[in-house]
Amino acid sequence: MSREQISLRLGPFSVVLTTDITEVSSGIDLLYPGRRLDEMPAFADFHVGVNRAHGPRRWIRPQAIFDFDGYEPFKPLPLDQGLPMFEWGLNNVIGNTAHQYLFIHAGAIERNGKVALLPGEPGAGKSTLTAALVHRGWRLLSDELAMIRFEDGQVVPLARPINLKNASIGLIRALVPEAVFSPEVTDTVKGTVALLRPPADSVARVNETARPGWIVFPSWRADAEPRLEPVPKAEAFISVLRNATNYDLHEARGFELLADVIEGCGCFSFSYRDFDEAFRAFDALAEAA
Amino acid sequence: MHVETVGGEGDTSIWGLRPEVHWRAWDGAAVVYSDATGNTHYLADVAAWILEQLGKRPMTAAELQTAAAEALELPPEQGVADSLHASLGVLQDLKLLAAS
Repeated sequence: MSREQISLRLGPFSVVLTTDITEVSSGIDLLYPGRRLDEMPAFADFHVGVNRAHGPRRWIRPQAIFDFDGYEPFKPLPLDQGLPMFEWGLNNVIGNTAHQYLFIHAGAIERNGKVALLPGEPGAGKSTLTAALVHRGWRLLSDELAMIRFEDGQVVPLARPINLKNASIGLIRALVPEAVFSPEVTDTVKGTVALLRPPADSVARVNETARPGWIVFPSWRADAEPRLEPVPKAEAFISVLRNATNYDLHEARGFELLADVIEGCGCFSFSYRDFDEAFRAFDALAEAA
Repeated sequence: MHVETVGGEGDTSIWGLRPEVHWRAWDGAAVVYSDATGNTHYLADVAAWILEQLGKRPMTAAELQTAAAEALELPPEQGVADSLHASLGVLQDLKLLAAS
């Protein structure tokens, strides 16, 4: 396939993707239906590429390479990882350049005009919980990159696909049989991964920002008693700080914004073992607001 | 070698937050950011209480001790004084406080 240019509008960002990988192009159509722009913009925030590797690796155990403005920041990956590579690469590019936002490695979901931020280390289950809740009354703003705008403290949506891995894929398939997934890709550094298409309503409202209302630190355990417990704000600040990827860059401004967010949020830890417990707990949060 | 006595007997130094310090306090704990060091700190208990008091106005160690005794409903005994003095020293080392 010759190189194709795909122009996307993703929330506040204009992205131009160049790819010569058929599965990446068709994957974009699957996961971002209706979000391709018909014309190339005069200006794009991000020019990225996911293309076949050069030389012998173009044909022998073929690989894909990600580039950003012609710079290749990562090692090549097997060709079948091209689509997740686009998602991971775009996360990296946005997180390293769009510093008009404070980034928190967290899910961000909204209900009744308030955003629940779900920070957590890898493996905490935040993407799985995010995927479940956005199919039960919550709107998806972001899966991994919660973006808080400095000028007004609002959380800005991207409504991009949700990265799921391993057992989480089957759990969400069972919960939402009509959900649309990219083909599963095995043997990635994260195990088996699949991308879940965001709900249409979340995409339709991608230009609606909302203020943070809750911070919930999720923890799934098979033997967990369901428990939603308040976390003292100063502790919550430090826990969120550990997931605030560009906090240091912003110095006092980052401190003040994060402190304002904490000030305005109810802060909780949440342990659970099944989705019904999670739905009840989050419904209660939304209704109490 | 310069040795500073922190809040010892007869110390009339006036303690205050350094101007480059940003802080918030909630429920007996605090978070602090220093422009000078670029560090963010979590403070609890006595250290957080000192920060909140000095965030309102500069005070001498003796004034802090009296305020601590009132706030904590304790007699102004040496134990309280020692704890305050230790915390003042730590906060000064973190470049959050200055004595004048």
